Amino acid sequence: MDMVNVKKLNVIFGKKHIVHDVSFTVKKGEIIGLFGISGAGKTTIIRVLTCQIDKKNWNGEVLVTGLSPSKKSNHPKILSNIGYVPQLEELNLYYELSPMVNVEVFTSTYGMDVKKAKEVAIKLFKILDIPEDTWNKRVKYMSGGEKKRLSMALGLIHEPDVLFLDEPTTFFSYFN
Amino acid sequence: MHISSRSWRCEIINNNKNQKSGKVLNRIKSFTRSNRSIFRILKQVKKEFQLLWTDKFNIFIALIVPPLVIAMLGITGYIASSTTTPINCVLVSYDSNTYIMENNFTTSRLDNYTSKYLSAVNKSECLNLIEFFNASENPYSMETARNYLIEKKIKIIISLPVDFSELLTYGYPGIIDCVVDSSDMKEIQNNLNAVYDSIKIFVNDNNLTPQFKLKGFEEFAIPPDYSFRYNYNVVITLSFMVVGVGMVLTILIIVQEYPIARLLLTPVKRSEILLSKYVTYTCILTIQNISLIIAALSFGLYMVGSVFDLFLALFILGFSGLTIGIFISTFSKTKTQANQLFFAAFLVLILLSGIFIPIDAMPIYLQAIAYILPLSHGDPLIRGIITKGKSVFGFDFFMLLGVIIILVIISFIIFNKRKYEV
Repeated sequence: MDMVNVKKLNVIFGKKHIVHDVSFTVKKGEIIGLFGISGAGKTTIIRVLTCQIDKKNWNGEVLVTGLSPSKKSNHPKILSNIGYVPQLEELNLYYELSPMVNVEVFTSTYGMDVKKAKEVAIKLFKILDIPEDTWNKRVKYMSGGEKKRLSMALGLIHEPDVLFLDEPTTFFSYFN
Repeated sequence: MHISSRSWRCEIINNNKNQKSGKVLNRIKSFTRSNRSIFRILKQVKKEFQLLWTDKFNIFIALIVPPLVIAMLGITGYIASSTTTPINCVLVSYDSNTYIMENNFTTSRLDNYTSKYLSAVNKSECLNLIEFFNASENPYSMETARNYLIEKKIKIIISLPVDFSELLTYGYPGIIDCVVDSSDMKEIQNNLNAVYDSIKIFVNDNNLTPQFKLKGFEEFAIPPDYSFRYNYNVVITLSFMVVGVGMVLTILIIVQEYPIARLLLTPVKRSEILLSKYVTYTCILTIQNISLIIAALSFGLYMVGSVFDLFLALFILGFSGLTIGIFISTFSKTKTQANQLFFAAFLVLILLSGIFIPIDAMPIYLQAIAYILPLSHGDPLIRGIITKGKSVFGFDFFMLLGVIIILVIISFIIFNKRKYEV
């Protein structure tokens, strides 16, 4: 089954034609990367796939986990099936709360049980090498790399079918 | 193809069963959907409290400052009511100057009542005589006194006219002129009351006839064992404070919360996020109102109406502040814009509240604006409950309720249309 299916995607904002006839498919288990110069429209494509851009601004055939983001009624289902790690951490994390509370905030939106969410979070934190002494301290005290990994953990916590990563290597050190 | 009537009936029954089970399934789905929604809202409320807890300064502003202000008013009101501050004055007498009688053109230089009135001024605890000028000896007495008034050395010039002693001697009511510093409108009546106190002493000491006795019929007055200053100040402060603090608490809650953009990439709905904010700050408002009422009553607030009515009045006023704050926050694109909008909105609220300029004295278009602003209803609502024992449910309450409903609806619409991109 195709997890993501994009055919002739065009994104237009007013007079600006940002994405021209983009087509690609992503199968289950596949990892693909979008490369392009600044302003090429990489983030815009992800925004279409993550239901952030109104249908009036784009056209083409787009299916994410078999559902089209063109229908507003599909949005909750698509958002439940996908994970997203944005480019900027300040848009993704509550800096004044601890990583564990952040986990609770984001997983509650999927209706996940707190205990189960915390168990999954601990596993992910260990895999992503987030130091244990930071788990219950405020996110603002974490380093850039730790914030990025926490962001990834939050994107993965509800075990999504598809994970979108925008500029995932920012702040990553060679060892991470 | 032949289909028997029995098989038709079976199909219809099965269809009905399917329809019924479909309805039940739909009901279960909608029930679980609403349950999930409640679960998400509760979790969002928890998050709001956690965020609020990290900002101790906001909690201080919301829950500690308001009762502290009331306590300060209580203490200063008590001190002010237990001590009388005499008002500085000078007495200028023209009484020793030559007076020409109007009927027979004879001259008179009677001034026997000047020293008597001077002693009455000295006796009065409300007045503090700085200097006495005899205009027959010093022709620049009034000019000097006016200079004192300009320099704020005194607040009143009491002037005895040339015929002061003559009129009293021949049994006519005497006249005393008063020049009061009117640069502070609130103090005019206080200053005149002090002069009136000296006249009372003068009339009593000299058995002057005819003696006038003023009998006041006061309605809704504060009893003597309560501080009228405290009551007056509390009424004004309460409405300003609950609306102001409500606005201050909420003007940044949306514009400042950047991760909302990321939250919206989960199944949570925009309305759930906004509703959770309303719920959280309503809880804070309730605690604030209870602490305010306890503080106000414990410092000796005189109240005719019911405490519950006062609570409801404060609650609806505070909630109007919250809705304005949230409205500004949903409307603004940046924190700076929100702060500037708050300042502008609060200025308009205060200026058109009717405290500085009576609403009925405003031009009709300003009156229309004033009546839809919450602060214009705060003062009459609270004053009505505290001093007149009125019920909270009246024009002001329902007007506030209407404004709140409109603002809440608008804030939900704006928040639903607000652009978020991660």
